Amino acid sequence: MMNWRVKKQSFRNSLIFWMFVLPALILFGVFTFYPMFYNLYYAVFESNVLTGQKYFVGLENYVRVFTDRIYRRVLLNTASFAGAMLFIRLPLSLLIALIMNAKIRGQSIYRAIIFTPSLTSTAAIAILWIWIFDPGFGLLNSLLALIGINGPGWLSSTSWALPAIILMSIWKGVGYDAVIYLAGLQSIPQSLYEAARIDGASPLQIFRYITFPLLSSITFFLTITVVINSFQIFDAVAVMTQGGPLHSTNVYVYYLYQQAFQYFDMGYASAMAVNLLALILGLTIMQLRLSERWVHY
Amino acid sequence: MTGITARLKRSKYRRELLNKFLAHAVLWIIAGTIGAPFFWLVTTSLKSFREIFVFPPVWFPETLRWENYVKAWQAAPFGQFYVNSVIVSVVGVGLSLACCVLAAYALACIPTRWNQLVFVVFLSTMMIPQEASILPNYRVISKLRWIDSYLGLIVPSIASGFGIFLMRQSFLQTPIDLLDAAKLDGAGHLLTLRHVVLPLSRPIMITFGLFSFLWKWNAYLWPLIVTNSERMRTLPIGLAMLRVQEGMTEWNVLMAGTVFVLMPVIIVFIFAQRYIIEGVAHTGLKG
Repeated sequence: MMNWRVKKQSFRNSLIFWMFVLPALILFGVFTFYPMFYNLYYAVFESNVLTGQKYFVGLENYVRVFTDRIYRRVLLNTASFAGAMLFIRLPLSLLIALIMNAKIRGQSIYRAIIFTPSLTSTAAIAILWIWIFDPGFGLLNSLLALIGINGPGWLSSTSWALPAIILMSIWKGVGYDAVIYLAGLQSIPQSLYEAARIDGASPLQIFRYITFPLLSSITFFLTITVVINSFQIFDAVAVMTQGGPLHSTNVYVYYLYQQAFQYFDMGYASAMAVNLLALILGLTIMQLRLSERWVHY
Repeated sequence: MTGITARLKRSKYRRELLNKFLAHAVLWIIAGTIGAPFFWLVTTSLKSFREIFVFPPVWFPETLRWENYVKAWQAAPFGQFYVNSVIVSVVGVGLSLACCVLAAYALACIPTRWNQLVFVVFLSTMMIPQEASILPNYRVISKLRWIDSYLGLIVPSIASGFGIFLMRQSFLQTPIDLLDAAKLDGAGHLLTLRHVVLPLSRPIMITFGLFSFLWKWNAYLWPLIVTNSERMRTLPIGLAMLRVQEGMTEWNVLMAGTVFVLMPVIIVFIFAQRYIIEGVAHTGLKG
């Protein structure tokens, strides 16, 4: 009798469990998992969206990646962007966090100002930055002129457009990383610093042997998110340069968007989407492997 | 003896004072550099057309041209964009919270033999970049005839693996005694969720709700793909189109339009700073 009731209870529980998770499962199924299979499937076809015809081409769309010079350029641009975020933005944010960590008044105000750009719409803020980068009357070249430098054409120059987008992205993201670093710094016990000071450690030694190792798990988390986010940038490029001039700012997701919605090359776009997923997974696994050497938990 | 310690103390005090002064100076420079573009945004939006094309630049316009904001409002249907953005963000956040709360509650508080498996399935969605799904999602939405509609804008981003993960971790902290007491009192799952679990997880719900709102408000790629007509555009799309498609060069008016898009986010930040900054600091929610 008892056994039967327990069984009935657990059946009821299961039913409620599935009812509760079902909406999320269906939505993920349709908008997250199905697209991956769709990409894998369509990547082996050459399709024409307008006529609706498709021909099986095997791995041709994947092979095309190796001969497509624009694709190579796009990868290089995306990697340069990721590199700049990793090796300029992250150290800069750590530096800012270290300075903010000094017990000073008004810390929360500084923190709020530095953090604000990361909350704003990239598309809207990109409009502001087009104006800041204006070669003739923009803020940046006006300031450069004050110290006697004739500023470049920024967004209209093949060599300066990508650095310009990188500059804006550093401005936009540095405060976000700094807030995370600051939280990490504040969780380091003061007693460690005091002990080190009594032992006569210099500030540089304290940073090298205490602060940095204790922040390594945060640095690791940030390197992973920074790299993943870098491979997903789209808004700034779409608004500021549309990938130009001459593909000098074209990045992965923007090129994928062009293939899918401007050239209507579904097969190639699908292969690119599959590659994007593989790239992100690969880079994350690589970072996980590397982390064993320098991250202390 | 006392003289030496007093002098030592004084010199240490002086050094600390100097350090603090230096830290303030450097932070002033950093905050000024980061704040400068915002200042440039606001002054440009109040300049006359003549003043924006002057070298060296004018920092403070002679008269504040508030009419730029009127011009911007009329340059595109910003009123409609606002309505669209508010509907997409607010309804989207509501549905997102509901969907994630139910799933997270099931994972945390209804033990069955499938909890682990379903949790792993939800977690795995966090590894898949949404950007890789734009083409298939566009095809699905067009099959459903949801292109250029609120449904098309809202539905694909309702479920959030990250939201479910955050809430599940928080719900697991609910004391077992409380859950048992609710059960003994004959409360069903919905009642327990509403009166026991949710009140205890308020901070995480607020934090996730705020971030979800910001993501939806700022979203650009998906609304760009799924909207065709001007009347369905959200604020960021509507503003960017003024520049990208119509090539507007009245920067004072464009800057006023940019203020329209940024203002609500800044206001939300001012009132909910604590939740937002602590949310980032403790969970690394991406901005």
